[in-house]
Amino acid sequence: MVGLSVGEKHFIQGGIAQDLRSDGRKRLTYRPIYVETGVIPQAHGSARVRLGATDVIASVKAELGKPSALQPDKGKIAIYVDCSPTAAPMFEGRGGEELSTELSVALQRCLLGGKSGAGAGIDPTSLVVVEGKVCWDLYIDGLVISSDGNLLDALAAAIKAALSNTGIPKVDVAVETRSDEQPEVNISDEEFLQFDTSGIPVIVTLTKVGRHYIVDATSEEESQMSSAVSISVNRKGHICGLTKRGGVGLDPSIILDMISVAKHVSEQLINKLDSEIAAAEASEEES
Amino acid sequence: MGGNLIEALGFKVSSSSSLPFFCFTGGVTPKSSLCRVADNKEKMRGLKLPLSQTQRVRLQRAFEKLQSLSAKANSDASVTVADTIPVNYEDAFLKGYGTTDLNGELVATVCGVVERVNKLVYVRALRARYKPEVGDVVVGRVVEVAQKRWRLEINFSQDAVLMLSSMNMPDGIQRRRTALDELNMRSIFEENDIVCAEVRNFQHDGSLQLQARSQKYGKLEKGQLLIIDPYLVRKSKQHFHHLEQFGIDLILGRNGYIWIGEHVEARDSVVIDQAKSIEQSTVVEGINRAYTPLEMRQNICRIANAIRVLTILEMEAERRSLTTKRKR
Repeated sequence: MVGLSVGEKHFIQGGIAQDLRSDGRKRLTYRPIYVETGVIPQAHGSARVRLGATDVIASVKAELGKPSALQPDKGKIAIYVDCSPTAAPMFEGRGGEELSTELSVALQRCLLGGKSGAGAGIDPTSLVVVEGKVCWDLYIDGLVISSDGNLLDALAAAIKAALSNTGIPKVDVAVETRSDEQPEVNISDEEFLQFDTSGIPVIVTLTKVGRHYIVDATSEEESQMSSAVSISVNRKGHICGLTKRGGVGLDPSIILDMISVAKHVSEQLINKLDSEIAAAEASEEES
Repeated sequence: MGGNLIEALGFKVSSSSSLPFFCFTGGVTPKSSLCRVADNKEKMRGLKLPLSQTQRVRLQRAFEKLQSLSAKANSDASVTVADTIPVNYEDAFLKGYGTTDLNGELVATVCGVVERVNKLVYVRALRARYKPEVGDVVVGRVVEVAQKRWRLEINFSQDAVLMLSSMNMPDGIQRRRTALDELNMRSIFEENDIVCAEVRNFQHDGSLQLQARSQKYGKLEKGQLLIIDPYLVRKSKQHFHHLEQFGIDLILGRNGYIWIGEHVEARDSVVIDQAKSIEQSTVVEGINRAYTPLEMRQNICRIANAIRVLTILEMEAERRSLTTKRKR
């Protein structure tokens, strides 16, 4: 991250205070979002999302596995994010590991719901094939190619797009098996099941600079932040997850205010994202 | 057309009557679309490249323009990698940069324009790193305050050096720099400051030496820095532009760093600044220092977005393309 001079920092703070940021956006305006789906043909689903100069790819791979003994009627989902060294020189080697774990944990919290599986964006019961014996394991991987701020929002959008692009192969189970044997499964190459992604939330990150919050901060603006709150909201307007970063403490009333702002912003974001995903899928079918 | 294009690229443009209109410098310059010409030639050699509709249209136009221009004397032919350079093999000539001898023919190794200087034949690449020349105006960021010098990052392969002796002293007197001056270097420029300077000469190891003796050079505050490709800033007579109608300073650094900020009068002495900076450091930042007024900030943002759009369209950033006289 390149440093900023005192004059530039002052200019950025002034812009946020006057509701006119360096690129002309208002405080609560997102950068244009570009979604491409099907970028990784070998994966079951993939998507690439560009938010200004931030570029992330998400891919979904499904493998057959055994469900855990505690939850025999649910499949397993794992989310992992990797920051590529092409995004920033400090990500080389193990430098990006801290940021990767932070992003992975935040995404898991927002999308996977509680330990019992309640409230997950993706319904794990839809992943089971034979209860107690065979289920789908979903591995969702995110890769940060270029970082210009607001990685969490971009990754959540990419995962949503990748999941709507995902086709889980249909499985035929051999009927005549005894209960203690592993059933034979036949994975079809032709038929695919699509996911219902309307329940998947989006993440809105509000970055507090001075006395105001902005949405979709660039990396320059993020360097000026005192704290940032990432709120995951779904279509119904319910909060699915909440993460706070940054060392400065926040008054509880500010957090409540941020939540209401995030709810308001998320409506437009969800609509925009859904239309972009639909457009991306349509153009992918054409080509 | 311009407005829609800019909206499509996602930048905010509001065209009220008090704004500059965007005036694109007539069409695509052939030099900037030579890479697309390469694609066309590849196609002609039987390879197919996927191009979107807009890219195809631009490629056609560029190709046509190139054909029309190169119908003249052959000397400024554009070449792509592995093209033969038209040379009279009987004359003695020197192979310069970007060329190589392949099977007895002179072949280009980079995409660019063929330049001939007396007997030297070389290919000047287009999207190269910044190639400094003596007297260039550059904008850089201080990365280190070293002994009697500042090191600046200027989008070049090495950091440039600005010697303490190449800076005017705050009191304006021409004198030898003492040890006290060296200790007070931070009061002039600190780390991460944006500085405007001029290339003085090249050092023996290839790095640059800068000088900032005139009043128009020095620290830049109250604005924003934009980084674009160096080949989009052509050498011209004027690199400092003062847009009076908006009260904005526009500095087009040849290294691709562009500064857009509030207009600052060229000061006779930096003494006033020093007194002010002592005041400011004791006062809580951000509250007492006035922010840039909204009107000026809007203009700064518009000019910045205009340059970003021009960069995406690979057109050169120059003052003419950014403002035009309003016809009443």
